[in-house]
Amino acid sequence: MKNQTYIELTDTLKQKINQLLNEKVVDYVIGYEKGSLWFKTRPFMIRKQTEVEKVIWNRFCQFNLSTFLKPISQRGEKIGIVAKKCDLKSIVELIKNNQVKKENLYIIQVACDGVLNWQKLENFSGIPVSKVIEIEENALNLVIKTSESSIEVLKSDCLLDKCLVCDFQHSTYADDFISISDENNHEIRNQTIPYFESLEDVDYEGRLEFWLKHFSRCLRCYACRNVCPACFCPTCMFDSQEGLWISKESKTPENYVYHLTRAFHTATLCVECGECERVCPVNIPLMKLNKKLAKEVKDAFGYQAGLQVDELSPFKTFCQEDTDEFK
Amino acid sequence: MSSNNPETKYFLLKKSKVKDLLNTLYKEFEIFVPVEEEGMVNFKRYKLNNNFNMEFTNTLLPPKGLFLPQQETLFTINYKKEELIEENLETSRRIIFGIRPCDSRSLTILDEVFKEKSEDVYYLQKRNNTLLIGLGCSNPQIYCFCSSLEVDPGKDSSVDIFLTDLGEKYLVTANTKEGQQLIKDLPVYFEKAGEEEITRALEIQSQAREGFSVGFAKKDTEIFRDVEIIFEHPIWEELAETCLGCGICTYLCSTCHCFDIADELAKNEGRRFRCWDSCQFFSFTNMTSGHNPRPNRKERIRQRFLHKLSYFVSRYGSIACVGCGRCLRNCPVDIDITRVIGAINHE
Repeated sequence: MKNQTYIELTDTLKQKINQLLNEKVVDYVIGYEKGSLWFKTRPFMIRKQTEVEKVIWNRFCQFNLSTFLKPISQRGEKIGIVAKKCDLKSIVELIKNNQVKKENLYIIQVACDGVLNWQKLENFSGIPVSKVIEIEENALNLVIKTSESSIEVLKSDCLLDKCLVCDFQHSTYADDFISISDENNHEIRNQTIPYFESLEDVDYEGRLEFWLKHFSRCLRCYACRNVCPACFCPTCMFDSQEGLWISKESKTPENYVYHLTRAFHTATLCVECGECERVCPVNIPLMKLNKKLAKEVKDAFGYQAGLQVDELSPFKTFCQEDTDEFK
Repeated sequence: MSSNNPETKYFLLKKSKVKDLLNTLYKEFEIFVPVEEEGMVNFKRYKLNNNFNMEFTNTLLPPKGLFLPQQETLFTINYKKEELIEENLETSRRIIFGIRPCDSRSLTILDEVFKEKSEDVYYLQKRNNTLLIGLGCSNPQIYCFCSSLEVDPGKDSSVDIFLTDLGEKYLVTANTKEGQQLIKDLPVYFEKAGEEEITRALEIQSQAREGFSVGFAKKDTEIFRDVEIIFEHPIWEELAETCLGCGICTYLCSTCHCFDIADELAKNEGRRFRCWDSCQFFSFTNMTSGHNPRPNRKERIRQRFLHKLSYFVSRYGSIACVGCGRCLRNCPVDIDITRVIGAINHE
């Protein structure tokens, strides 16, 4: 996939990482390298300058790398991290909750124009990724080329849901912002209203039926938990060796307890990065649950996760004006 | 699992007749067909006139769950009556309709494990009751690498009946006595294939062997026979840095078969069940004493690769991977077995 902006950004990013390692500002940098297939990228720990060549930045850098800042993976080193605008929210939460120290971090925000989802690409173009030879971009569209044909699809149709509400701007919280001159020219921004089918208008039975249907096929692989930057408990209650809170069987009631507990545990911490839903192998629409809780937190406390580093979570503050009653 | 018969016969089955065929077979068999739901294709129990999707690439979940369900009760105990009730073993005759060559190979690999020494009746009963109707791949997907493991995507002689997609119809190959009998019993659906169709099917079958995007050379797997060398290879540390420790690769693997056994109590009843478990979980090897021989992701990810490429080979003579590509497609951090094999040999 050719995109001059991303090629230039990659070059600048490489120079930056090189400099950070060279000047020993950080011990290593968490970035992206090329994945096994053209539409995939892979998280990459860059420790040596010889490895910098492999660093990439493109429209498939979807992984929220901040999950690697969870204490379980830390070794007390100083870490550089490549971050999209959305990933910065997770980093803010990790700092706020004392999971990583700001002084041990060097945050490199890289200009992002939205991340493409390969499944959406397949769905909207009707072309399997195996047949794609090249993708070109123009202002609004992606031109997907195969050996026989070429098809144009709307860029915004193929972006991750979260990209549709992103302003892609520089965050003052980053130590560096890698961009090229016309960074504010985001044609796709605010062009589409994000598609989010709410369950608000569905009655109790309907919601129960909806979630039972989805949770019944959960494999309990725990990918949603492990990928989540907000799931940072040293030992998850579902891994507790002292007592089994739920059966090891992947049955519907057990799965229900798992998912609801996970959602409640991450309320006020979840920045809606969407990684849980993206990695779920059986397509459980977890973001519906997360968005619902975020909405409740916002309505009740006027609080949104990931925005201000000095604004404490409502669960950690006491406010005289709070009413005691649950509604 | 059926006895092989060297005498194979070719027939034709019109696609327009498949539903009628399934409706007929439904009277005698429990049938599993690929069904699309929530954007995923999986094997589901066929009900009369149900829709199914034979144009699928492969199912998201491997068919192993039809033989080794994610959870399975082994027996229950009634404490009041001091009585042990064995679980009824599956007795219905079953058909899996449309199993891909990689997945049928995975069953022959699993057979080795569940037949070894003491026979696992829970698995084998289901296996013996099940007729496999395979479906050749005419279009391997971008993450498929079955050809690296000597699975032929175009042709599968291990299934009872094998279908090759000829567009409007299938070329039907009966590989076993059971398969031949089924065709013989239902002459209304199967017509004799002509030379021309057989030739075309052979072409399609050989085309399927081309066009793989990922893979490895067979000789590159030989290095894994020397566990001494491979055990301390730096690649395990590297993979552990990004591995999330989730169970996707093991649960979606068509050959991973590790399970846990547990007892649960309810009122006057006790129940023993087994359920899938994953070597990627900390709890998998955690001992009662608190000691864990595989305490970190490095040891756990190494276990998965070496079990497939080393330990299984020395025990059963074959690699415990069929190249279905499910791990490669679904791993959140793009850990790729073909790259690991390549990197160990060439980097």
